[in-house]
Amino acid sequence: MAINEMEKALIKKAILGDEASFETLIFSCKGKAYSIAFRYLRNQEDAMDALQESFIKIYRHLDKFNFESSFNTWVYRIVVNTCNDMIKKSKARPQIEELNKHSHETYEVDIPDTGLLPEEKLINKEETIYILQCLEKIQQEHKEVLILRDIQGFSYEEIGNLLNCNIGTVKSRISRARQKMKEVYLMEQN
Amino acid sequence: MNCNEVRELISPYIDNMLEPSQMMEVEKHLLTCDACKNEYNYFTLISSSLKNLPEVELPEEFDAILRDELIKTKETKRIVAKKKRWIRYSSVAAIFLVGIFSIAMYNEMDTGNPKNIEKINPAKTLMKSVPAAADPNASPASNNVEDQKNEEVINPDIETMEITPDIQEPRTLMKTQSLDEEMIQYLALLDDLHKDEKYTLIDWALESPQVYIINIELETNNEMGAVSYEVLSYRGQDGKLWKIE
Repeated sequence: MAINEMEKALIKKAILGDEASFETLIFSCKGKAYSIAFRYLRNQEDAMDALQESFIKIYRHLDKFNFESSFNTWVYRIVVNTCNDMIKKSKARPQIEELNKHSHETYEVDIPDTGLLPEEKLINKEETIYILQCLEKIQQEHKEVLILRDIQGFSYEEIGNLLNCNIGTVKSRISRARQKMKEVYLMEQN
Repeated sequence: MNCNEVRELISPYIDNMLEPSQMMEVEKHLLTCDACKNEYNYFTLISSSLKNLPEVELPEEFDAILRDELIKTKETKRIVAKKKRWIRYSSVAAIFLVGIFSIAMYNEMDTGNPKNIEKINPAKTLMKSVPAAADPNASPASNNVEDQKNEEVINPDIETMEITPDIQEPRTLMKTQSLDEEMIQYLALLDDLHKDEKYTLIDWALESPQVYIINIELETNNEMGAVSYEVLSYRGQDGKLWKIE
């Protein structure tokens, strides 16, 4: 596979300290990596921190990449772990106004001009805010799989890879997550 | 399939993760069951709402920030490697120094040995000092020669330990260090015998019960004034002293 060969060459150069090679290496996955971090952590500042931390980790431990998964999958796995670590740490310091603050921020940052009519944009905004609010109300374990499955579009197998569990577990977790989301969705409406 | 079974399969059904046969079963059920169809509708709504969330763009400043961090990391790596190298080299140097030091110490101990042996022999030093004290007039040269002779003769310990088993013989018999009355008697006889002469008691032993062997070193002067030493052995038995030839 041509892509793999190129990847290997870039990895070798990056291990020797070539930053430019490393930047080329991560070019195709950095956007998605940021998206994952943003959805996990819900604000730009934290997402940027998580991403920097992840890529530095990756840069320093490039020699430990064993080529068992694709390079990008390896990157995403590290990003997911870094985000989960940050979330665990922040839970030690509870924040009360978080939900409202973050919905507001999400609204500010996220709604690009997609060429929709004003009414459509308005509906979209409301839907967007609402679904994100519901997502906040379910536990991290379920939220995570919905981010990866529905928002990021990873397959069940890829999710198993990222979270280090088998497909059966992925299947049941997604099913539970959707059930919980439905409960919250209905409750919030009333 | 009943509703309970179908409910479990709606989620993977939406994601196309069912076996073809399962897919058909669920589809059939959903056509007729409103409750399950309702569940299906909500799941689909939630899923598509999440799918339709606007894309998140990577902030522009990310590349520059990352590059700075990468360069910093490289610097840190270099410093850490340097430190590790330094520690490795100094450990090797330290071990080397310890090795040299140990060898030096060992050599020091080796050359010290003969002196040590000389030191621990009090008998020899004792015997040596006596004749020297006895004759202050003796010239240094003659003293040296006689010292050498003395060394052969004077040191019973070395003799017994190393060289001549026949001389050693009487000493392997019952040896007593303590002076009993009989022994004192024989020493008195000896003193009488050599009353005008100088002698040194070397040692004594019991050859057999109540038979004493006494060795002395007699100092004699010839007409010229030269000093010589002679080892004499006496046997004390039945209250009498005999010289052993």
